[in-house]
Amino acid sequence: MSKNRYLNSQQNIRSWFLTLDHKRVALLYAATLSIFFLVGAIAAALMRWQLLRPNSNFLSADRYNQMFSAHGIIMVFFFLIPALPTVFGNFLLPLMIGAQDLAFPKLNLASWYIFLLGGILTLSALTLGGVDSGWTFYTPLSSSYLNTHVTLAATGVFVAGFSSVLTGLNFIVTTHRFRAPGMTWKRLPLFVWSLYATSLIFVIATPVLTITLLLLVAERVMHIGVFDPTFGGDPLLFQHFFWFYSHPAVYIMVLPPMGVVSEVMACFCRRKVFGHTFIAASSLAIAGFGFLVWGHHMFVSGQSFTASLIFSLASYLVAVPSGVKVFNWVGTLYKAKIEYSASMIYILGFIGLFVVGGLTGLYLANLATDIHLHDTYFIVAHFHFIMVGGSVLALYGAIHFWWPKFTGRVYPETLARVSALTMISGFFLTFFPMFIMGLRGLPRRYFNYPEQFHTLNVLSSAGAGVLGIGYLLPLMYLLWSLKYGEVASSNPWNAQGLEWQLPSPPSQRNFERPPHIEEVPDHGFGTDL
Amino acid sequence: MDSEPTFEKSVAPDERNVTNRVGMWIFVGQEILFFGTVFFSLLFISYAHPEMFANARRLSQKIAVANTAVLLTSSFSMALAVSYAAQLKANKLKTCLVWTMLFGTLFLVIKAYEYSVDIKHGAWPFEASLSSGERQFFALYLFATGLHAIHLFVGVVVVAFLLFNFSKKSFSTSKYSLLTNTALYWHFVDIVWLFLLPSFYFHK
Repeated sequence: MSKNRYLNSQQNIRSWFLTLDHKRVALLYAATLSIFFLVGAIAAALMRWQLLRPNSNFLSADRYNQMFSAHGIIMVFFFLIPALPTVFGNFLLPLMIGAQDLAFPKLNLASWYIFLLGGILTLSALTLGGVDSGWTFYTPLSSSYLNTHVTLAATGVFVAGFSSVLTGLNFIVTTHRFRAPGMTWKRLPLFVWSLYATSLIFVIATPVLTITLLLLVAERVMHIGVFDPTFGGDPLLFQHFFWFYSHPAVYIMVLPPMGVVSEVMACFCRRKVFGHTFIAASSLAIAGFGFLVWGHHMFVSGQSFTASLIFSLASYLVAVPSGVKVFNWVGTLYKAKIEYSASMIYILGFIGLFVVGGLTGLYLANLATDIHLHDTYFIVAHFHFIMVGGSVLALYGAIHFWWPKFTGRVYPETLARVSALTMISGFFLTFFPMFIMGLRGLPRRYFNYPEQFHTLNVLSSAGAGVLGIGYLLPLMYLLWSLKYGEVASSNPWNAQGLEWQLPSPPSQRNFERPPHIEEVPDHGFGTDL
Repeated sequence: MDSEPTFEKSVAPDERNVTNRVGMWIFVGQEILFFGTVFFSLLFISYAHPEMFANARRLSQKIAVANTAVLLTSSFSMALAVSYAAQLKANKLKTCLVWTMLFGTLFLVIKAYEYSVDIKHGAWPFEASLSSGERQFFALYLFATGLHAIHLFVGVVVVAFLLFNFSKKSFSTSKYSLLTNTALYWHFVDIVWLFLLPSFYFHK
């Protein structure tokens, strides 16, 4: 590899920890996020071990509560929300629009340090004994009754929020101001559209969470009385504030993966995605509508029936743009000459599992059925189908698709395909039984359960083992490929997109001369619909 | 070494100013959501405790109004500073920045004094004997004005940094960008105060 590539242009500590190169910042995030993912996964593994037997005392009730809280807080705030934007967004956004870097490179580096600080604070809370409030921190339990490290954990999330906002800000300004000549909004890749919509959510929703957590800490420390009825406050105020952020947050977690699906699919179907404009518009629609549905997390909280009706209706409506995407992807697949590469398998898995997750969301949007299903394993299954079956699968698809671009190496394809199938099947075995458990009434967040749910739980825990193998296999062969993998050309997949015009890996300065931009083409294989 | 390709229109100084300004507006936008959430809390809590606004009489309207004059003056000197910068009048620019810093700091000093007066009058959320409506009102008052004061303090620090930076007679367009964005922030903090004033102080 020649000396001017971003990976080996300079190799001392300072050049990494004081880098202004968006590509290196992406790798800094990747390293940090891998550690957080590992911690969150260990928490899940311990939970699944506990749930192998109905009356296990491997974990005490309090310990179990700490496990699901740790798992939720880390996986949501320190993995899923940042992962695709900060690793793939940071690396690819400038490349995809023909820019030399993001709008504010120093701010980008600062974002990483802020994220690191937030992560350290939260991990400290977990190391010191954890929290048992759940990642949802509902009051007055979290504000007045728990004597675990709620304040410290909440502060960590508070700090990490600033990192999100600054990243979102950076992406929005970059997309507006740094597109190369000829890169019109209509020609923007779908991944860029998804990042733009995600960044809008970052900037609008996160401040609300910031203040909510600050109020929570103030309540805990000073009993100001906003959330605790004993002091005249209202627990529902916390829930409204919390979910006003956290519902759009789930769209942060799913929009970039959907962008990845579009990119990978266009490449391996050898055609433009069907309804390109509609997919771009649906990203914005999801971001917008996503702000109107937060109350569907509160159907049994005691809020008014009228409010519940409105949120229920809005929740049905928000499914429509997601449906538009799924239909357009199916339209892209129809009569296409599909190449089943590893990343293609991952995103096909995304489509199947996301559809299940999304449809079960409709069950939950319905007021009557939600009364029965709320706080059961049905909900746990629903969001894991989207977050893991959807987002994580797409993340792995992204890792495989852009691995040659990031590292200059190609991984072993057959092993990767086997990995993908392992992950999909392991995932299904882990989480599908949970739908059944939930329908049969098993509540979530319990460390023990009645004997009748034993078999389903064993299936789920077994699936978790397979899923774990699915996560670890890529780690092994991807690391192997760094040294022994075939050296990658600029465009090993024959994909469209400006990033594939650059060498693998790119030089530090990205484009030596203005990139050549044309109309988003039909790939030429098969007919364009 | 600097044979940078200039095909990106945003590398030229004027374009960079616009880029920085767009970023700053987005930042201010999210700050609006910050304070919006706090105001919303006040609104929400007041539904359950409509009598809570009666506690406003224990706050000192006089100090608040005086402080408002101070803050508005600092905003005026900040706006003047931007105007002088555009006219390349370095000394007048620096004088105005000094005034801005002084009045901003004066606001904070008066605020601290006001808090001590509040404590004396029992307008403080940490008394055990407070009824619910009282506790929420003073707690949100402290939370909101404290958050505002922190923002103002950051603003004062940035203005100090600007003064230190503008030690030369001439300044580049990038410094002008920094100045105008700081001014935007300063005016935003001022406007937040103008919303805080009636929300907490002006009730019958």
